Amino acid sequence: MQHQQLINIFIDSVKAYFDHLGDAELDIGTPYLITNIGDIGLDYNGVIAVFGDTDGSVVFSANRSILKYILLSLGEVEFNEPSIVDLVGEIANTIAGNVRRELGENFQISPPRVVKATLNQGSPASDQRSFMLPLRWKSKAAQLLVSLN
Amino acid sequence: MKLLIVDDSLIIRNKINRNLLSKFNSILRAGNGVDALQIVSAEKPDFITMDLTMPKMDGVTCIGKIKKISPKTHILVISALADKATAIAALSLGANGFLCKPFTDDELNQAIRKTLEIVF
Repeated sequence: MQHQQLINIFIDSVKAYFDHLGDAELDIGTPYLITNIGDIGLDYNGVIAVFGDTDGSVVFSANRSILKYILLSLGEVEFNEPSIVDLVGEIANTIAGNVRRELGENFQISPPRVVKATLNQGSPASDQRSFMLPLRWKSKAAQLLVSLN
Repeated sequence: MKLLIVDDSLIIRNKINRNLLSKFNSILRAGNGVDALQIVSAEKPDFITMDLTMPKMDGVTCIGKIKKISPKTHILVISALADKATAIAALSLGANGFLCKPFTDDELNQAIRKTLEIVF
């Protein structure tokens, strides 16, 4: 699969998640390739490990403020730490799970793991392709990092 | 009717609970397949919404075990896993319907209705 095709599949998946919230358009910035990830991450990172036909990870990273708006859109009245942690993991899980529509059942994913603040992903392996999608919703920032071999 | 919501996400459990509160007499919740099996054994719910990617025991394994304990319980799978093979695997184990995350309240209501229509 071409790199651009893979990026488009993840763009569609991210867009579908935010579209269902219905409140506002998601602004997706220009995706860029990463050769050295190092420290990444906004306030919260939902990490999905990928295995099966391909290995790697999908990370949805977001600031507290955007997560608060998403919780409100979902009808949540509680805005506390467990809700935020749960939400960021669920978003990562949904985005990664939805790409199986295109990539198939052998794109296997783990339950989400949530890491607060900076996440050190180190450098991608030489056989991995990594890209970042900058996201903005209701003027608040988030990112999606995809790193797959 | 008694509903059991099985999902490792508190937010999804809350969303389904809010939406279906008026449609079921009693709503129970579980955060993984192991807890769900215990509740099914004790409570014999009429209807279950079942996530697939969960810690401790995944949803597909859980559906197979539930159908042995309580074969008449109707199961609607609600999962982010959007491929056809997963849906077919869940349905072949005895699930009665499949709804892909993310979902709106209308989509959930429609999926519940469809699942019950198929069953009855």
